[in-house]
Parts: sequence; structure tokens; C-alpha cells
Amino acid sequence: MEAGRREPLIRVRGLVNRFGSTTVHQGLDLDVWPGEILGVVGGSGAGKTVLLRALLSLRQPQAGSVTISGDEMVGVAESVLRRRRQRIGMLFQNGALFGGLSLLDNISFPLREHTRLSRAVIEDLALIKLRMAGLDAKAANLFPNELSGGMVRRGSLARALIMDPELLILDEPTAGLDPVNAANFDELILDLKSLLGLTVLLVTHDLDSLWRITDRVVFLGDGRVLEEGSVEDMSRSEIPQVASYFKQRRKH
Amino acid sequence: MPRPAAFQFSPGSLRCEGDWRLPDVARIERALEGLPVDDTDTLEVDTHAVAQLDLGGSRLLARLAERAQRSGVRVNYHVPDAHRNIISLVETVPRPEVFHKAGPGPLGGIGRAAVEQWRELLGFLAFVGETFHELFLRFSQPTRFRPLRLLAEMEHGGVRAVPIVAVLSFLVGVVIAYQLSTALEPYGAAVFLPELLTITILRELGPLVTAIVVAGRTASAYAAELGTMQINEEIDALRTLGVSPYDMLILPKVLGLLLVLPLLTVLADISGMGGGVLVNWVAHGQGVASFLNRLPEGMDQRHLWLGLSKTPVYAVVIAAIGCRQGLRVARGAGGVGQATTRAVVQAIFAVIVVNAVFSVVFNMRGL
Repeated sequence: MEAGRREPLIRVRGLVNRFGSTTVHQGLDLDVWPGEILGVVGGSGAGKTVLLRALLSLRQPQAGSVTISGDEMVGVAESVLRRRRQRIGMLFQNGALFGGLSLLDNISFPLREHTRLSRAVIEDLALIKLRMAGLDAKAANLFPNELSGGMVRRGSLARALIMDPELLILDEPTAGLDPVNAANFDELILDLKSLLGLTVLLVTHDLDSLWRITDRVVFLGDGRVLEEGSVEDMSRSEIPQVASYFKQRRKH
Repeated sequence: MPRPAAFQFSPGSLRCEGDWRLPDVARIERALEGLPVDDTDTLEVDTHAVAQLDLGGSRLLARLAERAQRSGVRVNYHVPDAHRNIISLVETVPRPEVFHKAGPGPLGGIGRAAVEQWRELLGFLAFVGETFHELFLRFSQPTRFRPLRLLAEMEHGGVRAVPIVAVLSFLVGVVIAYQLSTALEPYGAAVFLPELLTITILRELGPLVTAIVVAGRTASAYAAELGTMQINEEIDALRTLGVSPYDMLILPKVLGLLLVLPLLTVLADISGMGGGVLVNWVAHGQGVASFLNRLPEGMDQRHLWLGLSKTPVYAVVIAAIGCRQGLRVARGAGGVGQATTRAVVQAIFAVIVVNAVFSVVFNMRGL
């Protein structure tokens, strides 16, 4: 397909991750193309979260290379990484909002750290992101422990988007949300993607989510990408692991 | 390669160039703020030469436009289609009605703090009451006591505190003996040192030092343990499994401390007196034997018993404050830290207050 002409936004080659004697990734290759929503699935322990951590260079892999828009992320000094990470927005599994800061301060935190914009502009931008994440301005003054699960997810999304990243990484964004909330959140991701021209990498166990928003899905297993294609391709896969994963989950 | 954000301004027109992206765009914020946009009737804003525009960059443009519009200038955007959405996203900012909550003011702050402290006190008393209520309920069902939990708590709160209590009270004994003997020497009254030490250490400092050490060690440990269990929903899990947190956690802690604090106090008394004996021997050549000989005269036994009679109260106060602060932790790891701090501060405060009350009461009764 279009792969021939364009450079991938994320290129992972020969990634190896080990914890002691357990090998999580054994020469994993992965490309993420600009403007797509890629779903990453796999059984528990298949190394989905480890992959995300390696992408952000929060974890040093044993071997392999990760480049994000052409810039190497492995084995690079922390000071260089700091700039490169600004182009990535990450939504952590449980939101990871800072408990000591109000939602507005949480969202504006990266701007205050990394730019020299004035307070007023920072506040404007944080409030705009709050609205884009589908939250009411009233929530701005609340603290994370006063927010519901769905609101935490949205607030955290607003924080992930505050630096206007090209790449948005979502770690199980709809886990623990009720189906209605989860569907709304998926809609939000789609809207934001088309509005901001984001590339989205999404780890999820939510099959509804995969059907609704992903352009392409990769299935991780045995330390590498076992299968890739659209969700339809996945459910027709001949690899037993993949087929059973999708069959198990179609039942309900 | 990204190009730096830049613009060209002539009255009535703003031509933007380069990449207007975060964080680089912050560089030109000042310059934009300083533009005289209110001199003309219209302001033409052209972004065709901008290669990349993000929300940060377009918000700066929007603020400039707002400033121009406030002084009656019409703003016309000439933007490529790709920018239209982005610019429309940042045109308005949703603002909460009450933005920065006004503080209560100095007087209000004092009032608020007073009410809060009063509620803390009531909450504490309620918790103590509840604990004793639960305790008395257990007397009819003695099988619900958990001896193993009790022993574990006694080990954590008592046995492991032995070294620090012994060392600290020994040092306190040394210091007190030195100060007393310096004061007594000029009057030739140094022989009365044993009597004075008995009163000071057995009656006041032994119990107090022990209680303060235990308040610092154990109240914080209780608050942190229960607080962490609370945010992990372990306490709810206990309840759901049909086990009362009182049986499993609180009563063993309260009873355990109730049993070990008097024992620790006796230890502190002994080692504090040991410090006094040492000073007496080194500084005044009064050997251990003569010190011990004088003790029965000076040591009216009541000082020992008066000192020990305070310790159960200290124990209940310390354990109750630690447990209560732990159980109050709401969601969030920061809450555990706050609860721990509060537990230590309140426990030490309460110990000193209780001690003062005891002193007054004992004196009024002529004890």
C-alpha cells in the first residue's frame, strides 16, 4: 500500500526485551504510518505495555532500534530524549494525573515546564484542551481524587495533547469504563484524530473499540508481531492464537 | 527541518511565516503582544506562508485578534483550508465561572482552622468511643480476639522499640542528673540527687519520653499501614469477607499498645535512673551502692505508680490517633503521606496535653 512512498512515523526493528530469564520481545518489528490508528492487541503478558515503554524510552531494551519520525529513541541521552518525547502524547493506563495538582494545573504542567509562554496563554490552551477532551470548564478546579474514572481518562487525554503532539499513545484507554462511556471516548479519539491529524497507537483489550476506531491491528505473541491487518482479517486469521483471541471475545 | 516562527507586520496587516508550533512559538509571544494593532480599521491576518500551525500558535493569533477587536478593529483572516479548523478551535476559551477560588481571608482562615480542629477533636473522641464499644462487645464473644495479631502488634510496637527507648531515656537521665547536680552543688545539697531524680524520671520524664518515642514510631506506622490498606480497598475487602476491621486491625493495635507501653515505661525508668546513677558516680563519687541505699528514702513508691498510671491513657490516645488517621485516608497516595504526618503531630501533641492535664490533676489532689 502507501507504505512504499512514505516514511513510517514509528519504526521498530529487532526489539529485544528481557526481564531476567523471561523474554518479552524477541526481535520485534513494527511500523506505524502517519495518520493511522493502529491497535495493538495480544494476550496478557505479550509485552504490550513493555512495547509502549520502549517506544517512549522509559525502558532500555536489550537490543533493537526504535525511531520516531526518523529520530532514534534507544541509547540516546536523557536530555535529547526530553525534546523528542514532547512530540509524543501518552495516556497512561490509570490516567497518572498528579494527585497534588488541580486538573487545570495537571493539563498545563507540560507547557509550564517546556515553554516560556505567559501564564494567560498557558491557561487558555489548557482550558481549550479541556473542552476538546469533552470536559466542562467547571472541572478545571477539581483535584484528581474528585473526578470520576471517565473524567480522569479525559483529563489525562487533555494533558497528553497539550504539547500538540503528532503521535498519541493510548494504554487501554477504555478499560474500566462502562460501554457508553467507552464508546464516547472512542468517538472522541476519532474526532481528535481527524481534527489534529494525529497518529494514534492504541493498546486495548476492548474489541468494540478495535472495530470502531482502528485502521489496522497488530497482534503480539511469542515476542513478535504474529499477525497484522484489519480487524476483519484478524477474526479470520489462521494462526490459532489470534483466531482464539478474537473468537473468545466475539462471544459476548 | 523546522523553520522558526516569524511574522511581518505593517499597520493593518500581519503576515505569518515559518512553523508556528509549540514550544518554539513562545519566542514570539512578547513581540506579538507588543504589536500596535489598534491604529487601523481592519487587520488582515495571513497565514499562507505558515507551514505548520498548531493550537499553541493559533491561540497566540487569536489573542492578538481579541486585542484588536476590543479596540474596535475588524480582523480578517486569510488562511489556507488546512488552518481553518485549528483556528476555529481556539477562538473561544471556556472559562469556569468561579476560577480562582477566593480564600477565606485571615479572620475566616482562623475560624475555619478552629472549626476544623474542633471537628478533629470530636472525631477522635467518637473514634475512641467506638473502639471501646467494639471492645466491650467482644467480651461476650472472647473467641473473636486474635491472640496472634495481638502478639504481632506487641512485637512491632513494643519489642522493636526497646533499643531506642532505652538509649533515649538513658541520655535524658544523664542530662537531668548533670543539670540537677550543678544546681544543687552550691548548696551542698548534691546528696539529694537520688530523691530528685526519682521524682523527675519516674514520675514525669520516663513515661513522657516513652510516649513521645512511641507516638513518633507507632502512630505513623499505624496510619501508613491502615491508610495504604484503605486506598487499596483492602479494608472494604475485609468487611466484604465478613471480618470486622476492628477484630483484625484496630483492637489488636490498641490492646497491644495498652500492654506494651507500661512495660516500655518501666524500661525507660530503669535506664533513665541508670543514667542518673552513672553521673552521680562519675561526678560526685557516690557509688552505685550508696545511691541505691538512698533510694528507698527518696523513692516514695507513689512516684513510680503515678508515672505508670498515665501510660494506658497515652497508649489509647496514640493508637486511636494512628488508626483513625489511617482509616480517614481518601483516594490517592498523597493522602497516606498526609495522614502519617497528621498522626505523628497529633499523637505527640495529645501526649503532651494529656501529661499536662495529669500534672494539674495530681497536684490538685495533693499526690
